[in-house]
Amino acid sequence: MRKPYFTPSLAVLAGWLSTAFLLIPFISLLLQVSWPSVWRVWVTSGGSPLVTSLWCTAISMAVILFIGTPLGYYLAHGQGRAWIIIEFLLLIPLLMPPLVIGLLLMYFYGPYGFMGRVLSHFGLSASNTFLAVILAQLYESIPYYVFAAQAAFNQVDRRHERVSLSLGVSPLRTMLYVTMPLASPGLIVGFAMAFARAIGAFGAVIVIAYYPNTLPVSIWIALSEQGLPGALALTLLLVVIALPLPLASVVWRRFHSDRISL
Amino acid sequence: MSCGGGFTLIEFRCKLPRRAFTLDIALQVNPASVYSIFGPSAAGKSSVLSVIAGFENRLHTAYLSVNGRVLIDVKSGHGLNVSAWRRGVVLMEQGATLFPHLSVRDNIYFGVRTKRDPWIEAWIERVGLGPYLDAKPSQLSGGLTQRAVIVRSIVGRPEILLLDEPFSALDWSLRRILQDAVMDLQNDLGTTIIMVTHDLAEAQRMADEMAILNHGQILQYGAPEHLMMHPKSWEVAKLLGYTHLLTDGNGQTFAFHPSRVVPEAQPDLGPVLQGTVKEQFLHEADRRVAVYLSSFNCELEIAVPTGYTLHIGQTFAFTVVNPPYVY
Repeated sequence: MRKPYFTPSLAVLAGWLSTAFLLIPFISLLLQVSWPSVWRVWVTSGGSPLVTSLWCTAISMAVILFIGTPLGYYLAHGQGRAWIIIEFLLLIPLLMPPLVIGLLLMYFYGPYGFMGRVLSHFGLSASNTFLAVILAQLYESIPYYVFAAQAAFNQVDRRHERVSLSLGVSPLRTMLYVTMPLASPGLIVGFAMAFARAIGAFGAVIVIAYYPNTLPVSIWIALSEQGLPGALALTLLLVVIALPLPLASVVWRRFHSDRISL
Repeated sequence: MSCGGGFTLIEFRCKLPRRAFTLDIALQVNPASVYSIFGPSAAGKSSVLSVIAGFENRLHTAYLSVNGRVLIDVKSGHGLNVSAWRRGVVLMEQGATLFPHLSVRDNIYFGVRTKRDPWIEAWIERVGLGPYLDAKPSQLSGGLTQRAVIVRSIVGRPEILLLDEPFSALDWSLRRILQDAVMDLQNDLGTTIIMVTHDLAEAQRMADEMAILNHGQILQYGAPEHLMMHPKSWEVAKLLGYTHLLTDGNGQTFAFHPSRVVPEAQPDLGPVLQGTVKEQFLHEADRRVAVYLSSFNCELEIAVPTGYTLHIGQTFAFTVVNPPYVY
């Protein structure tokens, strides 16, 4: 293949500078941290928040997949004004600051809120419980997956779906064997982004679910009680848990984009 | 090829508002025949196939029965409209490609439960796909992809096959090969084919019956040869390649086609015209001659045999053979 006539050296330089700017704090932390003391903090105070975060995030992500996938599909292909309005309304939680989401959740799901009182009739509480954490994670992360799914389904050539239906394959099997595989690169990246957002959810979580402590809340508690060294150790734990899936999904998409050329 | 015998396999009527016009057509197709819908771009041809295949949900008035089974019966926007996947009608869309994430074999057998069928395997070998069954679609040329798309379409032995400009992206020789393959398939299966095309030669070569569609209306239908010889209006004639509307010695208007002429004056064959040769050039295997007709004050092209010698500026008489008289 011929090399491009114009080598965008300035753009490459800008790319490297931006990357360095974003990564330098993280790299300097990795270079200076005392790993034995980090390990000690992880063992003594990291276990319980880690388990809480992972459980809640797993449930949140299952709900997000279950609701967000069909929602993304219909946002991409649904006809009529209703879907335009739904798309617009979904932007609101996406654009709202997490702290505001937390306060609204407290207002609605808290002990004195409308839904809080409804839940209490069933012996449930959405304040300082696992349910509260999951609710906060959902509100913060679901739009990320839904909009990624919408974009992914939009990129699937609809002729492939029509071919499948025309060959006598049912809509469900068409969805499973044609639409989903073709949309999978975008869906996986959207899922990974929503996962990173959910496991790192803090603003809404701390308002409505101080307990049970998730990892981000524990980091904030460690920062206020022990200062930066204790908080940084837990921060590293969060990074170790939260980063691999999104990074792997981006790399996977890069290497598989030519395999599924739409 | 048509076994007609008075029995109609497909009966279709439809009114469907489009952006620029309302598609308003009715057609009847005999079993085991090839029915071609011919017309210019944006005439509504693909919409017809889309409705028959079941991909149009906003129907106002439509009726479709296949072999006595009613698939669409919609009046004033309400009624029966059987889902596409339950119709047993296979649509091969314009520009349809293979599923990019599946191998060629998985593509071909996508619509059926089996992964090996001797009849299909024979067709795979016949169209030269044998060595490519494990390849991904991205590794196939355009011609091989189109062959695989055709074989995929017939894997379930459909009673009706809808072809929407099936070979439009291919070169001339490959078109001929695939046209022959489709005709052979049609003979082999007894499938009824409705084919949309804007290529007149393709429609004429493949169709038992042909409808000429423009602005959502069928202008005329019948056997391809009958249509070519007897277009009933100037609008139809133009779509079939007639270039000028001229008048004979009796003052009657006839449509002129560049290929329906013989050099020299032969009044027993049709009207004789005389003009001055302005230009001549090759047109595939023919020679085209641009002739200025002073009596009509217009210039037209005629086809003459390649070896026929003419000179620029020469006065030249030719006969329009049995032209259609249209208005």
